[in-house]
Amino acid sequence: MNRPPRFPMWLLRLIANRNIVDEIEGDLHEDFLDNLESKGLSKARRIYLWTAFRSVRPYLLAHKQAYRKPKYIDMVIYHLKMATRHMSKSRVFTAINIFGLTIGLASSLAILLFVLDQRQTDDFQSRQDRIYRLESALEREGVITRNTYIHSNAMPTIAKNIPGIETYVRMSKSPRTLLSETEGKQSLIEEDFLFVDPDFFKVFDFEILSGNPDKLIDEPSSVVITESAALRHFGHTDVVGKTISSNSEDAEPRIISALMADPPGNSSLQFDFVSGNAELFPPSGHYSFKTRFSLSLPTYLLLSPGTSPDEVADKIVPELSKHTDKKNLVESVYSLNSFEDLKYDIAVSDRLIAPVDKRVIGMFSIIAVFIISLALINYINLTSARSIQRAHEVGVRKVVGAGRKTLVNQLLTESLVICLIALPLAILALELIIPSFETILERKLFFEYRTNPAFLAALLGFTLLLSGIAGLYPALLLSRFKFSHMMKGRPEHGQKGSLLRKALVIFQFTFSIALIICVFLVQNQLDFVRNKTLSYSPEHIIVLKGQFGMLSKNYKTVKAELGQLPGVDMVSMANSSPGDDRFMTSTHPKVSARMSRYVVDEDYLKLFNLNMVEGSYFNPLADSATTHVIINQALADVLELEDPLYSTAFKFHGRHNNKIIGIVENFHFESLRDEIKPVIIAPAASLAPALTQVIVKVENTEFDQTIKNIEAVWNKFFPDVIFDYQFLDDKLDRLYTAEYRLSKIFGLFTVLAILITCLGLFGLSMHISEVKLKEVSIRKVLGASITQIMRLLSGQVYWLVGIAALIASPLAWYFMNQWLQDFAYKTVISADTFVITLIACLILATLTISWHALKTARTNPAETLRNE
Amino acid sequence: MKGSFLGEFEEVVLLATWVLKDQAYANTVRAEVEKHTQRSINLSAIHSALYRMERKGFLDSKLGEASARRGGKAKRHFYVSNKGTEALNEARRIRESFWQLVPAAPFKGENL
Repeated sequence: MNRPPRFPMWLLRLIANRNIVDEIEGDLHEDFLDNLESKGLSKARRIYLWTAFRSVRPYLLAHKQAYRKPKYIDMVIYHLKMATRHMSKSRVFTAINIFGLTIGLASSLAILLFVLDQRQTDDFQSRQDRIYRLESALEREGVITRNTYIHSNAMPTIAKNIPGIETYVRMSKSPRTLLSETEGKQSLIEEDFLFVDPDFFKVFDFEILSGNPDKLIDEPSSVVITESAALRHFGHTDVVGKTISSNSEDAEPRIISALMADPPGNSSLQFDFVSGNAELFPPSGHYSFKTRFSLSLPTYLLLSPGTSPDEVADKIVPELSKHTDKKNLVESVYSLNSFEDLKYDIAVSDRLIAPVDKRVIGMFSIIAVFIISLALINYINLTSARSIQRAHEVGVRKVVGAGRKTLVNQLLTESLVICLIALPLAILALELIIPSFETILERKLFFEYRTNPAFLAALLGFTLLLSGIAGLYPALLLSRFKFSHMMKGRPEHGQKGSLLRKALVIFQFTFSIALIICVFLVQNQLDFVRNKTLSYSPEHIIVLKGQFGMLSKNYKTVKAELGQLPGVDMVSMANSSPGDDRFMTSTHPKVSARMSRYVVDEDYLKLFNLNMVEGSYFNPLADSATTHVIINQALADVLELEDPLYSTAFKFHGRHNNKIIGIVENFHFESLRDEIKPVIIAPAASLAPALTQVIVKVENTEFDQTIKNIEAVWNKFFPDVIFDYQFLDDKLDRLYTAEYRLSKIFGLFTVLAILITCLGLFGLSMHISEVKLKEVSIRKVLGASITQIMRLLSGQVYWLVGIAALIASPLAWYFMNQWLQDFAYKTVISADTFVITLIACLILATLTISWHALKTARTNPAETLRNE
Repeated sequence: MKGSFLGEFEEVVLLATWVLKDQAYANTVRAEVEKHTQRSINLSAIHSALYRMERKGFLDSKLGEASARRGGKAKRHFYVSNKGTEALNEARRIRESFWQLVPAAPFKGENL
């Protein structure tokens, strides 16, 4: 290795005048060899490096005379000039390329922002890796049911005896209606309250702006307010020590003990107020294991560093069984799930964290990659197809002395210019897309890409890479042309090239068709769950939400009064309505752990049009029979009673004298993702305080007036409970928010994909028309009809679309089948979806290409052949 | 006249270039300067002085031949221009006019 190191000169070349560096390098090289002889290798190298370092001096930069000006600057300027000339010469193609790349980049960026957001969720929580959620799992009949709600007494009892648990937080989130007085006007505002154990702020990192951070929520009536809630209620943030009251008169006003910053946008915990959870418990402070009523809360643990979560989980059951023998507590299997994983865990919900399906993120990423590649394909196809027209230009360049490298550089410069024009446009488009994208996602994008230099640099780098990919194939293709062929005017019309173009077009259509099919199938399934399975029409049913115990005394009076209102068809009182996620843990060994219990009055089944399979419904006259229950077919099936009617064999929750008086058909009141659960229906009289919802079926006319009337009655009976109504169809749609979101996003990106694909096709057809203009003219002279010429110009495209459909259909079928597995009840994937999609695509393709095909077919041959 | 003023190092480099005649390029100039001044000089300092004086017009240059010993790079030969000669003469004149005025034995015990 007796050569001087290379990189110093390489570095110098980057900043300095090349010629001077050459001279210096020669001198240094000579010096190096001298030193090598006299002083040895390492010393020579050291001197070389030192000298090179000291050579960084102003004269290096002096572009003194012409002979010292680097050539490449001229070439760059020249390439740029040629690129702009070329772009302005074929404006339509340039526009198609820029537009396609803009859309592709913008939509990919939108998706990228979403994915980045997901990855950064809860980044700010410094103890993330030590926070775990306690879950229990019960197995019944081979089905394991995970449960995130843990008996509120469990953790306090056992935490101190299990080593490794630093602390725990039992949390629950629910809305509270607060009375707000601004400028003398009273208004009710519903706020999200997070009820937590005092150690909440030691487990989770939220920024306290003012107030004593140590004693935030020790007092039962003290709350921590977020900045935006403070602004809503007081108009300023100097609120520590003030009180805030709720709308019900018997509740004490709450004292604000601290002000905290709003939970960051990437926090999976979102709330307006934090309060101690004392008010969830009875005056004694806790529910013991013995009481019949208990409270279950999501429980989060903070383990000390280095503690294995599995070991802690294993110790829970032995510890618990020292305190209780309750079956569903000690027979459960406990596990600790890392907080980091919860954001992706869609299997169970604790209503604190809204998880995101990892598959959706994966799918989005794939769509982003595909959409950007559609735009790239457009560029590659159009440029390489049109390269034939540039054959003369390239020929002349070669004669003048351009090497292959120069030609490649020239085409790469062109693609670079196009990409660099598309980039700012894409960012502009992104700014336009983001609001509607956020609406679809139903969340604000948190990541501030505008102020993130790393992201912007990566974006620029990505754009450069993109221009490299886009320009490389056309560049290689064009520079490969042989001069002699070009001068003859007929460059090799590569079979390979057009094959590749066809393959790429097929790829584009495959992706678009697959997306269209997916959109159709998702829509089908949504229609199915919305309409096909319901025995009632949800758009005519209004649900009014009240509070526990509110209706216990006067529900009959309220019902009678509401029933008399004009426009009201029927009224029913119940503890739940379709779309609620209300269940109890079954204690019956055969019944799956999650079952539902409805407390309803005598009109419930009639209102929802449900039929009895056997037996009779509650009799309004004899509803004193509080022991009577009705079960659904699903429960009857698992109970396997020989003679279910009037049997008292089914006991639940310690009630031994239930008498089954009827069996009702299975009905869908929950998401169709799940099997129909066992349901037990109890009469209103048996548990009147549980009636919290008023379900009103209204007639088809004058909704607004009817709602006003209902509100008037409501306010008369319950002046201090907010009138909160919801149409049942909205409520049911909420069960499928994720699916609706998916279908909307699918729809959006499908439109974009089709747009880009059609743009490409449009450009190609324009190119073909131009190339074949003379051929068409000659054919016309020889007597070909317009139809024949149209067939000549467009016949190929139908083949391409057909092949694409053949590839896309099984792919789409496979993926959609996977997706449908999430639903217990699913629509059939029928062939007509595929046929309709194919026909639609053929029509679309025809429309796209016929513009130019027709124009060409109708040109007067005399005009094009005049010069021949 | 700032442009024609020669720094001490510049003067030495210029003289070395003059002495070397056709053989003056950075490496030989350095060797010559080192030989006469008895001190070790970094090549980049010579480069700096040469290019600077070329800009000032004291030196002319032309590209010479390349050789393997130089890693295939051409060398730049320097020649003292008329302006450079004038500047050297001027510097010499200034010094000598001072030396005229210095008394024969200014310092005790030193033999000048």
